[in-house]
Amino acid sequence: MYFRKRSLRFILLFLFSIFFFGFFTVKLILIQVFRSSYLSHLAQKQQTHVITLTPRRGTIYDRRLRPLALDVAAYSLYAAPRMMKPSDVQKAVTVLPGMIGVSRSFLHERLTRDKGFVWLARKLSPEAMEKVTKLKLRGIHFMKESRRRYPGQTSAAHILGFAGTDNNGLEGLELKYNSTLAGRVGTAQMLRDARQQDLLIEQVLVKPQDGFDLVLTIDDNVQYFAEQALAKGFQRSRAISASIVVMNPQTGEILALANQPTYDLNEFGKSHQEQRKNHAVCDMYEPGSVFKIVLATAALEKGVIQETDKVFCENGEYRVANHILHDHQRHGTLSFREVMEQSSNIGVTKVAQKLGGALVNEYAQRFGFGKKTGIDVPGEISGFLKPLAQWSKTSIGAVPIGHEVGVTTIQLACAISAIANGGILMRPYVIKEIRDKENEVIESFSPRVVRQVMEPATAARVKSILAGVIERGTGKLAKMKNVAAAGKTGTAQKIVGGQYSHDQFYATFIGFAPVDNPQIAMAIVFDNPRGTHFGGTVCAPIFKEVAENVLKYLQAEEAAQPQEDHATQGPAR
Amino acid sequence: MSLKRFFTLCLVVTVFALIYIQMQVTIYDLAYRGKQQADQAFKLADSNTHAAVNIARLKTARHLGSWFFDKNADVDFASRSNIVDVEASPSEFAKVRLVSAPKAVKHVESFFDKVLGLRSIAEAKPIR
Repeated sequence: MYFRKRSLRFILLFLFSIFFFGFFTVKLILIQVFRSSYLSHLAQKQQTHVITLTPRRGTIYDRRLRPLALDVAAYSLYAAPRMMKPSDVQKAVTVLPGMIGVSRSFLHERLTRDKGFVWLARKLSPEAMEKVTKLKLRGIHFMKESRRRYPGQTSAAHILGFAGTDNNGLEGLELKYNSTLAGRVGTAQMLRDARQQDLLIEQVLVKPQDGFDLVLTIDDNVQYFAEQALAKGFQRSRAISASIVVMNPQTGEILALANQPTYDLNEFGKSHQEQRKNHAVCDMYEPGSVFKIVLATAALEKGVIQETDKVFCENGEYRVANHILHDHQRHGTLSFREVMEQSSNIGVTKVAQKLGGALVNEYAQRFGFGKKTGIDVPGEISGFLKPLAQWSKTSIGAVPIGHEVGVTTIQLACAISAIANGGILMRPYVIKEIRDKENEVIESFSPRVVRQVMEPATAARVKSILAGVIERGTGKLAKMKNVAAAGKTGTAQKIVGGQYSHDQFYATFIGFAPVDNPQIAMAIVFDNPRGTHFGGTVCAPIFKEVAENVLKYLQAEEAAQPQEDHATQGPAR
Repeated sequence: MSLKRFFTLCLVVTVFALIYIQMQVTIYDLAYRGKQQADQAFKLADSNTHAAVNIARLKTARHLGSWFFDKNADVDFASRSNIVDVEASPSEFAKVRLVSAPKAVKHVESFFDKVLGLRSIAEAKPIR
């Protein structure tokens, strides 16, 4: 009996075991054999996910490899409203606004949406991120992004431009060289746990390619001198806008380009369109007397007049067709050199009449007026040069003195550089090199000659006349203590309502220094300065201030060159 | 198959399964630790970049210029006129240099450097 009972229990246990193992065997076979691929796929999907690997946006350096624009990490705050309870939302709405700089109503509206993901604030500072993280709010998370920073704030703002929230270039070089700077995004497969937290990268699918760095011809110090002097002049004159271009006349390298009004690149959202406009390349205006360099060059080269030849300046009034031309001061007989020094409109017009409109027009074209200079900054306009066929009877009394033509500041800088360097028109440029992250030069840009505008001998003669303008003429305020400079002033009436205004002007100045070995050439333009409005009083002092500082600085740089050759060094990363 | 053989097989399979599970656990543990270290490294790199930007800002001409020139109107760039040229013969110049040049510090190689160092100091190269 006992044995039978034991035997029955044993059989039952045995049968149960067989059933149990059989059940799991069948289940295992079903899982491992028949549903294997489907379940593996599900597991793969759950345990791994593909992420985007953001490349580093290239840095922009000045010519001495000082960073002008670079990337830093920023933290963007997002929420998962569906995961948040009403109490979490209430807590977040109470404490977050002050920390992330948004309003309570905005936050409440975002957090009560029926969504799995909403942005709360983009690109916060690490300090703000730490403060928010300490609160340990449920459903509130950070995503790491990168943010463009400009250490110089307003420095070279109109050249650099800026990159937007998604790190895409929106203006200036950031826009023009966006594809070069941006690099290529990569992808990688991440392993993640049951809480969907990312662990380590399991496999890199596509490697990200960092953006290339740009090395500019701009010198941060020269830029500073130019910006400071321009800002002071702008405040003094209460003008609408002002621009300055400082150039190496031998190579065409732009050492500085500044405009007023300007803006802080780190706060570009707060700026308005007028502040962001690059007036030096985007604005066209009648240049006034600075354009007389065209006539002087043509007349001297063609032998129409010599420096000492006398011109009767009609005591300040001269009729050209049905238009009466005036000088700002009455002059009798002047030598051609004096005509230029005193900037006599009548004297210049009389020489132009002798020379003929065709040659004036030809030389204006040779200087590059009416065509884009080809500077590698976006938004350049070509200006305006009337074809000879469209000249009216009064044009011969207007074009040589800088009316009926439209020029840009950069065109003026190139024109004066051509005189400074012995007659060669150079293409202006701001990009010196493109480098990769290993600091290898990918592409290098060298000076490019556009054309020979005049013979070197003619250039030397014009130089001497322009030196006289600063020494004895209308540009006296540009005269420096120890360095001889050459230049030309200009004051042009603005066209308002289709007529020349008597109280609105453009003040201009172009010049270079030192005369015998020009290292810098400059063009300065003020739109509608108040009070004094002459190029010789508004712009010439700015030329003097910038030239003095820049020449001293270049001298110091030259002295330091053998000890410290930055060109062979890599940028600090 | 005998029962003994069956249980032996089960034992072997179980041992292998346990080893496999242990390895998986180790992998995940390493992944968590790696993640923590990577986070730490990224945090350091980020704070380094922020510091670099702040330093770059302090070194800009704009900042230095406003610091030196705007706040001290008398400060100016040194020009040629501010530099005094002193004429001296090469021998006189050499004397000046001898007086002003700091004495070279004699490097004494320690015993431990010799024994424990993998390379001599002369072989060491600066990291770029």
